[in-house]
Amino acid sequence: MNTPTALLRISGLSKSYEEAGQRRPILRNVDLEIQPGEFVALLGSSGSGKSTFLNLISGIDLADVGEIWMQGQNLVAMNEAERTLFRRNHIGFVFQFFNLLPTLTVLENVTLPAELRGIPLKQAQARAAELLAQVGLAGRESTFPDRLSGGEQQRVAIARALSHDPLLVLADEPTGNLDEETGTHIMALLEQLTRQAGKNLVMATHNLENARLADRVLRMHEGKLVSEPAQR
Amino acid sequence: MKPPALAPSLIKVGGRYLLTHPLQSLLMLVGIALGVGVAVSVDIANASAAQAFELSTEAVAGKATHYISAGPLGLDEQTYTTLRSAGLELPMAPVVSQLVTSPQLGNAPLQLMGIDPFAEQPFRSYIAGDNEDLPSAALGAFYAIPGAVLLSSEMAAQYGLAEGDTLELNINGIMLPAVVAGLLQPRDTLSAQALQGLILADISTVQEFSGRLGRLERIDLILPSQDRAAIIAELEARLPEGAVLLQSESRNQSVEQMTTAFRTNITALSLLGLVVGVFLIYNTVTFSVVQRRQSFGTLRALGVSSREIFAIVLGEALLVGVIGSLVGLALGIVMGRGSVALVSQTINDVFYTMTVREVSLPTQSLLKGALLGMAATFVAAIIPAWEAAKSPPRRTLSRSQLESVSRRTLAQASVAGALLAIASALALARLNLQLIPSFGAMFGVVIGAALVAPFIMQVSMPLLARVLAPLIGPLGRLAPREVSASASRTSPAMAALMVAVAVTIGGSLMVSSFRASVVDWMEVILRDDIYGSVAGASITEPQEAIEPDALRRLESWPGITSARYLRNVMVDSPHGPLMVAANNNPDDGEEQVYFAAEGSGEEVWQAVQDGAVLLSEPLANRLELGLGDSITLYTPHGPQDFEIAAIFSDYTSSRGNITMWLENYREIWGDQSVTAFSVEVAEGTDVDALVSELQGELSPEQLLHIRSNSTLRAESLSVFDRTFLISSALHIITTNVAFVGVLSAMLSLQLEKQRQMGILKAIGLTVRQIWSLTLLETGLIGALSGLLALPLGYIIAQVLLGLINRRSFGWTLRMHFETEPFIEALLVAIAAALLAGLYPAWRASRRSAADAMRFD
Repeated sequence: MNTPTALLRISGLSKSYEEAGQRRPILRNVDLEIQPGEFVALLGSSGSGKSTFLNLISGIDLADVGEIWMQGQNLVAMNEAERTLFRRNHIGFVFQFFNLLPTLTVLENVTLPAELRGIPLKQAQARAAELLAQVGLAGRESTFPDRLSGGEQQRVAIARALSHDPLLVLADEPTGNLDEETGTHIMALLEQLTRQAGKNLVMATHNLENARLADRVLRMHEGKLVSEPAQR
Repeated sequence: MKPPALAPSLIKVGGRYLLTHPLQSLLMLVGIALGVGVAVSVDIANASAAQAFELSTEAVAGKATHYISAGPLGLDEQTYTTLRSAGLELPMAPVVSQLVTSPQLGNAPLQLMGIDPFAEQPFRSYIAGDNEDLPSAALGAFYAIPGAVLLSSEMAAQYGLAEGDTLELNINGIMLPAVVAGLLQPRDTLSAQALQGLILADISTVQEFSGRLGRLERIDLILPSQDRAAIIAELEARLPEGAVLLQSESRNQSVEQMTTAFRTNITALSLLGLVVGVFLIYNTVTFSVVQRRQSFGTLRALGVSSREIFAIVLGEALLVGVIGSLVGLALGIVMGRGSVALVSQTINDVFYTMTVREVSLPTQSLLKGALLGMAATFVAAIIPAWEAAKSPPRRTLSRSQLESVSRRTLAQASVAGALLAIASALALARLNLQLIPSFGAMFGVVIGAALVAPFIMQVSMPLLARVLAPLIGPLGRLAPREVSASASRTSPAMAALMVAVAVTIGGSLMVSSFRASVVDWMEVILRDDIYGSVAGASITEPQEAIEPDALRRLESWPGITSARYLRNVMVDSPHGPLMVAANNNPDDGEEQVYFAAEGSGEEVWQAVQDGAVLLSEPLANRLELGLGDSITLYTPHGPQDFEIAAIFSDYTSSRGNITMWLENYREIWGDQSVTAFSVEVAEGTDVDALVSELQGELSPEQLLHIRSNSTLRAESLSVFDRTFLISSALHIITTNVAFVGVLSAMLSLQLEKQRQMGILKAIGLTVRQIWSLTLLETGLIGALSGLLALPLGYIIAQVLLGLINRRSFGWTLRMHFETEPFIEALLVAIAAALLAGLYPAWRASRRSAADAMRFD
């Protein structure tokens, strides 16, 4: 499949790590296309390569071989500084352990990506406040992350992932550190907000329930991607 | 949209980290502040001493380019009249000066300067620039009132004196009355400063006070640069026999050289404090990076660039650097006041008489201090900032990888350190380095060793774990492994402590070796029973003449079997004024420690009696003269060469002296003065009783200081100890900076290991075991630092003794090996480390297991 309208086009992507003097392959020759507005879930057991795959898409890590095309640019051909700029402008992240910055308030955490993108502070703050209201945290703007529950922290993380208007949101086990009920709420919020904003979402998870919310489910097994029918 | 240089939220990330970790920020601040404080205080002390020196020489020499001198007895004042009326049309002014003290003026040494006010204007404008300086009423009183003197209005205000008040001046131990005839109102700061250490009087008053009627000390001259050679020739043709025309600047050059060396020494010592401070800053910044690896990873994942991470880390450090430097400047100013006293005391004891009346706060010292603080912070923070920035996001997220990077860096640093230390040691051993390059190479050895030390720790800790585990169980295995596993934080602390302790060992060993040399030397040279000189004179080189009457009485005093005399006097030479010590001790040849001599002591002394001289080692080194060379001195009969019969060891002063036979000196210079005596007493005499008797009755008019052999030795050693007070103070401060370093490192470690501590508690470690584990870790760091500091300290002592001292002061000193400095230093290192572990251990023990485990 080689669709000219695809938001993200990945071909022949491989990645291995050195362990005890030997190369251990993590991803093997992965091909994938994601269409604009699509929500893709990556299912797989621990160590199957899901996080590595997200790291490569975001430019955090670099592939051994292959291509990752987005916005007419090949991430694999970019240097570190270019990949950083690309991530800053086009990618939103939601992590399993929330990874909020402890020294910044809730509002400042959410504002940061927009500020980095060069959006004027006032505008960035207004957008952040709006997103915080959408995730149900209006009135908690001045709170520091250590005063929030896990679910609240992940809501902030979702708001942060959308604050700079990215093309693609990457979520790595977003509910992995939350209880079931909170996880369900968070997942619903993540889906709703990304769809509402017209953003793409690529989510790594081992939770089948969460995967069911996606338009397309891909299973990662021994470094290879296997397509599964959507289960919605 | 162009992103801002650094997003405001990123600035907050840095700033708030500092605020939310106040203890760490404070420790870093203390490291910088102490380092800067010490450097600034020493710089202020040096600048104040240098300024006092400059002012005292300038105040006396003024704008004179040359002076006419005729040796110890001075010039006949007729020479001035003759030259004045010779139609030379040159500015010239007669001068007679005398060091005095006065109980009404704080008993500090002051220069009493006898001048001709009408001849002064071109020379010392602050004295008689115009009538504003020298009020006409005062000028009248200057001549009309016997013993009239002028003081600066500032000095008078300082001591609560007014016009018409009387003063007692101690001149050569005799108290003479003087009257404050007027106060000089200095026109500007420079004049005020120049007048600080001066008392002015008419030339005849000073001649009378100092017993030099009809004699001038010198005639100052300003020679135009044009046709100077011809003018000099014309002047020299008119000079009486024995008078010489000399350049004014030559008078103080050698003293300036020596004090510069002294100042370089203490500056280098103070900079070592800053080096230790650099380790501390490095430690704190590294910890802040390690602690925030997750935050930096998140930021990198969010698209924050390496450069921005670098800017955050460096910015934080520089912010603390700015505040620390400012605090350091304030601390430096406060400590500077104490250092000025120590530095000027040493200069007075060893070099020349000087009073630092004012602590100057030169903008340059403050600027230098601030720049040093910032530079130290920058140097220390740049590596961790770079480490934080260059790590790709994944690695920033992983702590174990950070430690693995740290271990690689340590290995690379140890190779670089070993090369640096070897190259520096080779440079010290093989190249004939001057003073500053010698210090540079010594720093190279120290820093090189500091870079190798963490590698040694990495290698030794696992081995230690094997030894300790069977002895004290799991804690014995755990503690060394923890120290080695947290290398990124334990290494700088260990290196800092090792450097501080090594510097302390080096310094103590140098001082104790020096002291032992002085004690041995005194054993040889001080063989008489009682010694005397004018009260208030320098203990090592008294130059004030003892009343001849007292000497006559001494010779026939009951119980005294023989008396020997010494005349210390400055004599002009082509090398500037040199100290001559002429004595009539027939056994002096046997009572010297020779550095270079031909024949026995007796033969050497025979040569001296026949007209040769002995040179002390510092003087021989400074003038680069040796055995068989000769030295020229200006005598009343013109320049005369004296053969050098031997070079002898002498720790009297680093200025050095020329020893000659008293009879020869008297014959050549016609000067009968004696400045010190020593006597042998009959067997069975109670020396202490005789000392009291002589002290009370030998000279009712002149205050003499008479002491027994043992008292003189004790006094000399106390002068010696006083000389090294400043070095000891600097060593203590350096060790304190290192202590803060270890405390900071241990605190960092414990804060980071809270989760691990929680787990250990959860699996059953008691509070006591938590304490033991923490203290064992710090104790191991201390013990290893101390052990590694031993050889480094020995090397530092060797360099200080063999190279730095010889370059700075001309003394060759031999190592007197003592075990105490080593044992003390090892104990200090362990104690400092254990002490630094107390607070972290207390924190770790108080935290509940559940809390600690929630932390991560």
